[in-house]
Amino acid sequence: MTKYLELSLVEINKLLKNKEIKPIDLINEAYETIENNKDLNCCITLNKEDAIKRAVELDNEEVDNLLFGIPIIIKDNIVTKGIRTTCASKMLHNFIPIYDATVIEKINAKKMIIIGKANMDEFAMGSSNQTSYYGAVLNPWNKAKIPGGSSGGSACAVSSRMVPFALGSDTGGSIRQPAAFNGVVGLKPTYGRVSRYGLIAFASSFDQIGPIARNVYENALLLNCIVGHDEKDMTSSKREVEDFARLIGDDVDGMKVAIPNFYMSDKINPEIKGAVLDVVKILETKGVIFEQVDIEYIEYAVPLYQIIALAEASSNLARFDGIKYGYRTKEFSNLDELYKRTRTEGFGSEVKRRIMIGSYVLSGDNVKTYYYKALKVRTLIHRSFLKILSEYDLIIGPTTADFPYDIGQNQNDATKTFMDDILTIPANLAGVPSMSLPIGFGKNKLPIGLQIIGSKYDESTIYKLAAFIEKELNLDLNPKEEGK
Amino acid sequence: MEMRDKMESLSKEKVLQVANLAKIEISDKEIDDYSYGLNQIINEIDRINELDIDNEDILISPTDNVNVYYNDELKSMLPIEEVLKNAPSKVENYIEVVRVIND
Repeated sequence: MTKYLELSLVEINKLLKNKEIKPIDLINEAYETIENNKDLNCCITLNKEDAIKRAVELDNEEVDNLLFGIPIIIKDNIVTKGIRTTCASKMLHNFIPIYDATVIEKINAKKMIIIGKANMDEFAMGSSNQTSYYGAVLNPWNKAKIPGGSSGGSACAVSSRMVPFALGSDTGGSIRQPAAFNGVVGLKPTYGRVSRYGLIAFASSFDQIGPIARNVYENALLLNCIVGHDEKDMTSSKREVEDFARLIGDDVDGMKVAIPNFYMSDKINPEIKGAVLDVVKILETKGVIFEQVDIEYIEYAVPLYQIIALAEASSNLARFDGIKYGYRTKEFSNLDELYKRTRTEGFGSEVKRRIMIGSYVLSGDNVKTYYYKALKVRTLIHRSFLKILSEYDLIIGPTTADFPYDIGQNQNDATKTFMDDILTIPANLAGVPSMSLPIGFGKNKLPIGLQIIGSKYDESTIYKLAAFIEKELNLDLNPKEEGK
Repeated sequence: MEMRDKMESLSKEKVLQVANLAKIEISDKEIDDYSYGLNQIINEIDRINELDIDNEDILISPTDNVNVYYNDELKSMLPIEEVLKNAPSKVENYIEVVRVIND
């Protein structure tokens, strides 16, 4: 059987246009691949009946854009009308949204077909996909390893070629880190680029929805689809939207790129650093100019994230009280018991711990010593990033400090999950766009991600360099599990 | 040594107090785990207090938007029967809760 979903988007589009295949062929293939890889545990909910119905409807419509009829998987913290949306939590186990997130409206307008909802860390809180109420997701490159998180199911689904596209969300690295661990391209757009309306909030001043795809060009196409001003999100940018693929193919000669020392410290796995330096060497021969820089205050990124993001989370997750929707405890005699038992039974331990940290930094005098102080340091980090990005076109470094670890490891270490994101959190603090691009493999045959950070609203320059590197390296990114 | 002092800074009593603020119940069995985990993180976040930056502005959000206003106009609303679909308990057009007065 031909694997249509392993073809490029342009090739699939041609087949659809020439009526050599129908959208239903793609949908059937997607569900077959999901079924054959059930053990990876990528999806929480499948949308099979509706997806098939939609594919049949599209049969009679004109193939009017490259995303037409293409199957996509959506992270389960993005609300989809009529399709259960759980946030991988017992709290929302039975929650069926009554409206679509803005990104879902945009995807439907392009006639993409939603295949299902992707597994994730509970409420996007984690970097290993082990905190899901629906069980861990496995890494398709080595099933004993974590796929990263929190968009682990989304990245795994694209990596194992179930679908060409997935949407993830990134609060501290939740698109880029799993993208790196799965050998796919993941982008966290500029804060404000993509509407957060309908994204179940974790930390509102960090969260961004972003595209996960098999390659750079296709990633840019999905970003083109989901961006734009939305009055339902007051942080949504009114900036003009451009074609983010427009610089792909341009020459990189003369580009100035900064490599922060923080990203190349001795805390980073030498093999990962080596892969980044190999790319640097190639680019230097093509005329790219690299300089090592220091980004002031970047060493405070993790504590800042722990304070600000968790303060926001404790406030955002206060809405899960068992009253209007979601889980409600069975036994209670007064309102306080209803709240407490609902939340105690409905949330997993990582979520509870994070809500408690958030409540702690916002209580009494701690507001001054922690929360306000952290907001001031955020001003400084933000400024440092903007300064470096005014002098350089891009910043690069590894996406992750290490390779994925074994499933089951580090589950009881409260700080480990934050350290996993040490290289990705800074971009969320500054609100700048950042991509993870596959650039090679370790001796363990696991993929390595390069992080490319750009100026606010300049995703196009990230795509330009990423596409150039992708072409130079020409990697085979179909997962080959060892022993297979 | 300094590390150790801080590790003991958040007592079990304080952990229960924070849990109460967060509307979460912690069992006796769990309290040591939560206490340890919270202390680990509080140790880390304490690092920001080595900085002397009192005169800096705060950054609440990296958005460029300032004062987003909406026109005062009636827009389409979700139908009440849809809104109530996810309610754990309802009576006619109302969400049912326990009595909150005279408790």
